[in-house]
Parts: sequence; structure tokens; C-alpha cells
Amino acid sequence: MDEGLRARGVSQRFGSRVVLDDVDLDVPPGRVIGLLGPNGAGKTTLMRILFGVLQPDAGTVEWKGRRATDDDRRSWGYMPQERGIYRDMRVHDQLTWIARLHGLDKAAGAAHATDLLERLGLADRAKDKVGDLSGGMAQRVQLAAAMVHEPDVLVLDEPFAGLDPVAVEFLSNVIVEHVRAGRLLLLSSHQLDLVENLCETITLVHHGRVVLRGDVRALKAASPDRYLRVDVTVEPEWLGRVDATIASSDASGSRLRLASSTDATAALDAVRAHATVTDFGVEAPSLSELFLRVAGESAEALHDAEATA
Amino acid sequence: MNAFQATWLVAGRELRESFRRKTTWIIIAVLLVGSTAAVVIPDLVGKDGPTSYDVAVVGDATTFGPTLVAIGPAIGAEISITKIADAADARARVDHGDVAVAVLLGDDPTIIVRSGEHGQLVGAASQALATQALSQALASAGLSDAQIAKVFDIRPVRLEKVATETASRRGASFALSLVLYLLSLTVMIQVANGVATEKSNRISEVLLAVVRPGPLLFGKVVGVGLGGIAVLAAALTPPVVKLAVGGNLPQGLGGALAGSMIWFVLGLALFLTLAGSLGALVERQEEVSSVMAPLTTILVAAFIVAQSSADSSLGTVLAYVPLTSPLMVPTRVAIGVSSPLELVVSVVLLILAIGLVVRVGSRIYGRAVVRTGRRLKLRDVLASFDNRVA
Repeated sequence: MDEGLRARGVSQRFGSRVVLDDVDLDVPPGRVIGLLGPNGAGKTTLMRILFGVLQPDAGTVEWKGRRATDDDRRSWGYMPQERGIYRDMRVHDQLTWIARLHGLDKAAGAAHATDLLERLGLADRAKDKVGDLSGGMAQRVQLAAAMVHEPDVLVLDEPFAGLDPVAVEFLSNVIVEHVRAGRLLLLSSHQLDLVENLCETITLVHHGRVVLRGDVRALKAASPDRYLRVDVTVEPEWLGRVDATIASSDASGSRLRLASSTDATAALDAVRAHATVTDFGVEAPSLSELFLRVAGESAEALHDAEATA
Repeated sequence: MNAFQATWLVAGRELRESFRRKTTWIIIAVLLVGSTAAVVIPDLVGKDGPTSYDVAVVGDATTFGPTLVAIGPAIGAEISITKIADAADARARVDHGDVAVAVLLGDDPTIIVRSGEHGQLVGAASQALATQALSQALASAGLSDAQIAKVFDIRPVRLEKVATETASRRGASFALSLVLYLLSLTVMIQVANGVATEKSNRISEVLLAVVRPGPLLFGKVVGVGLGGIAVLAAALTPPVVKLAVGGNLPQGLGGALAGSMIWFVLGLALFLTLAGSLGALVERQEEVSSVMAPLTTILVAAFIVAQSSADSSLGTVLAYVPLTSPLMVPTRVAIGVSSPLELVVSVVLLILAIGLVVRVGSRIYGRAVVRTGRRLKLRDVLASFDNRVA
């Protein structure tokens, strides 16, 4: 793990409020790492501490096995949640300027900016002010600003917030491409379902504490919970003597949480007795379901947290 | 990249973006035109020659007319006499503005003038009337014409004006201080607004990940400050050009100009750094003016004291205080009440204050700019200095 980025024992208080309490975080290269949790969990504060924007009350940030310095950090790229760029500055000027802050000379910075705008499909908007671009385009400029100096470490705070599906797909591709080149990537999100299939390793924080960490597939496999997904909306009385509960219901159908002793086919038969099922599956818990189990909170609490995003 | 390079990169961005804005060029153009006009127009008006007055006279003007015309040069005017037959016509002409005043001679002499106008001319006419009455009285007392002429052949009183130099120095320093004061106020708000925008857009967060707070804050101060000085140069170019070609400038403006620059530049650095630190405390752009209130109050108060009583003991004390000396010292230099010791001590204190403010200010800035969610109190930010592990 000497080649990665990690935080050890990070604690931070603001006045009497504890924002982070002894948090560890590992970001190895070549994997998409998710720092997940509801709003107010302390994700942004931890990212600021990684970048030295905030000095933590306790704990260290290590890079390649030693304490991270200002020079190390200058080679990383950071995209804060929403905005983070001058709206009244022209796109290409802004990217060149940021590259120079990272230590590139003017010519190299300008060349990187041109390449990156080409890659992100913004070449024809290079001379426009950021404020004149659409939300999705401005977000790509923001991403470009974090990547213009070709950083080994890319840290994205809530990169998917407010994006349409096309933009989510685009950004996901950029993230995967970055990681496949053997570089480091950390992203935060409170929308666990959105990053479910992107994050390979997660650290889940809640109220400033790490509540779950590890490889996503391993975590799911290790969970004793199993869910039956059906494409009909299940009524509670349909289940009868089958030991299962309705975990969630939405427009696409219901998810039933099966007790460990319950046979999935018995639960499916109970549903089929009342409605025609054309699609179903027995699944491991989703990230939200894993979170709810460890956080011990009701689904409403998570949804309330998401609603305030 | 060292701190100097970082500061310069940040300052360079401020300057480039500032000169890309149309408003900057409009302000420069307006100042240049206004300042040129202020320098050139008095010269043009001054070369206009003496004022000329038409005076209507009713009655026998053989002695009065020449007497009044002779007084003309004393009030800097050329007076011509028009004889009018009757008083009503004379009154109507005054009313219509055809003549400046009308004089009705006779036993009960009357001067007719539109209310509030031509005070000097009325005085001259009264004097001519009195002279005429006096010479008639002397004639009836038996004096010969030659004797009467001798009575009136006294040398005119010479008017000596004192304190003109101090007055023109005060005038020049007032104009200069006003420009510097307004400019300081403008760029101060500009820095605070800029910092508040960066905070609310979370740009400062990105920048702080790359650049330390000191260069970030001071780079903004230097960039916006240089932009302000460029604008000032536009306002000062006409008087300086005129001074260089030996124009008729009020004495003392040259010295006041050169001296003021030192205090202005240093004062600007101090005020802008404070403004940047305070700007980092706000949560929303609208709070900028309220968070800046203490600073603008000091600036306004210093300006008022400097203009009203720079030579008082309060003025002397404030000439040493770093926050007020930038406004106080140039005025005191202009009116000639400062001592060399005062100047040296004042500059040294000002430079020390800047050093302190840059250090403390960049710490406040670095803390405050990433604490969002509510308007911060300076006290809260300062308190957070203590409870952290270094």
C-alpha cells in the first residue's frame, strides 16, 4: 500500500460539533474508491483535509508511505461539489491558469487545456465564459479543471449531483478510464444507488465515523441478507406465513427481504398466487441496504438526508 | 512553485480579468476626461478678459457717468452707460436683463437691480453716487474744481490677500484625498466581493488545495490594487503632465502628489488585506457591506478628520496610527504641518502593520473561506487558532 493515498486517525471538530471521529481511508491505485454516506456525514471535510485545505485536529494524511506535503498535493486534482470555477472567466483561460497554479508553464498548460477540451467535447466553447455554458457543460469544465495538470490522484466531491443520465454515463467513463491507467481515484456520493455499479471499494461514513469499509463485491457476498426482487407491487397480506418483509416498493416492483431460514422459491410462490411475475431475481443487498443495516436507521432517515441534497 | 510565483499568478489573473471588463475602461475614460477638464477649463475661462456691464442712467449723467466708468477697472469690469428717458423704462430693462442695473439720479438717487445680482456693480454705483454727492457738497462749500479734484486724487487702496498659498494647498490636497479615498473604498469593496464570490462558488477550496492562503490573499490584494492604481494613473496624468510642462498649478500639489503615493500604496495594501480577510467571513454576497462596515467607518472618519482638522492634536496622533495615517499624512504634508520624524515613524509603523495583517489575515482567510453554512464571527475564526494541533 506504499503507492497509495491514505488517511489515518483523522478527527475534526468545528466548535462543539464533531465532524470526523478517528477516520481511516485508503485510496489504492487502479480502483474506483467511493467515500459514501448521507449528507453531513463528514465526506467533504475529509476531502478538504486530504488536500490540506483544512488542518485536522488529529490524524495524518500519507502519500506513498510518508506524510503528504504541499508539493505532493499540488500534483493531485480536486473537484469540489458544484461550481468551483470562475463563472466570468473564459474556459480555456481558466484551465490554462489552473494548470499554471499546479506548476506547469504557460505553453504546456495551454496545450493540456486544448487537449482536454477536445476530449470532453468542449473544443468549440473554449472562448466562452463558463457562466454562459449549460449546467452539464459547466460541470465538464469543472472536471477539466481538476484534470488539466494530468494528476495521478483525482478526488471528486459529489461528482454526480444534479447530472442527467447522459452526463452520468459520460463522467463514469472518464472515471473508469482514469483508473484503468493505474491512477488513483476517490469520489464521494450520498446517492448510494447511483454509484452502486461504479465503486469497487467503499468507505461508508455516518455521523463522522466509518461504519463499513471494503471491496463492494466481498461486502455483498459476506452479507447474510438476501432479497427477492419481483416486478409486481407486493401487498403485505400476500406473504402469509412466509418469513419475509417488504424492504421497498417503487414503480418497478417490490424488494422482499428474506429471513435467513426462508426459501426464496416459497416467497416467490406466495407472490405468484396473487399476481403474474414476469421478472424476478434473488439478490445480495444494495449499498443502501447495507448502509441501513449497519447504520441501524430507518429508510426514511436516508431518504430525508438525500432529499436535502 | 514558490510563494512569490503563486502570488504573481493570482495577481496576474486579477489584472487580466479586470482589464477585460468594459466597466474598467469606462471608469478610466470618465476619470481621464474629468481630470483633463478640471485642469484645462480654469485656464480657458481665466483668459476670457474682464466682465462688461451695461448700466442705464436716468437723469443728468455728466459727472456720474464718467465716475462710474472710472471705478470699473477696480472691480475688474468694463462699464458702459446708456441714457434712458424715464424710470419705468429703466426698470423694465433691468427686469428683462437688457442692462445690469439702472441708476435714477436726482435728489433721491435710486439703484435698481434684479434681486441678488451684481453685488459688486451695485457697490460701485453707490460709490459713484456718494462721490458725486460729496463733490457737489464741496462745490457748494466754495471749493474750486481743482481743489475738489485734489480731494479725490487719493491713491486707491491696495488689497493684499493673505493665506492664498495655504488655501490652494488645502484645495489641492482635498481634491487628491477625495480621489484616493473614493478609489480606496472602491477597490476595498472589490477585494471583499471577489473573496466572497470565490468562497460562495467554492473556488477558494480548489485554489487552497494548490496554493497556500497567504499568496492567494495577497495575490488578490496586489492584483486588484494594481488595477486600482492604473485607474488612478488615468486620473492623475493630466495634472502631472501640466506640472511637467510648467503649467499654472497650485503650489504644493507636486509634493503632495509624490508624498501621497507612498502612503496611498501602503495604505491600500493594508486596507485591501483586511478587506480580503473580512470578505472570507461572509456566507452570501449581500453580507459584504455589513462585514466591511468597521473598515469603511474608519476610512470615512480618517478622511473627515484629515480634511477638517489635520493640524489638530487629534490629527497628529492619527498620523501615526497605521489605519488612519494613509489619509492623514498626505494632507499634513500638503499643508506643511508634518515633521520628518513623523513621516519616518509613520511609514515604519504602516509597514509593520501590513506585515502583521498579511500574517494574521491569511490565517483568518484560510480558515474562514472553507467554513460555509453561516456568516462567521471574527471571534469564532480566531478562537479556532488555539484548539488545533500544530
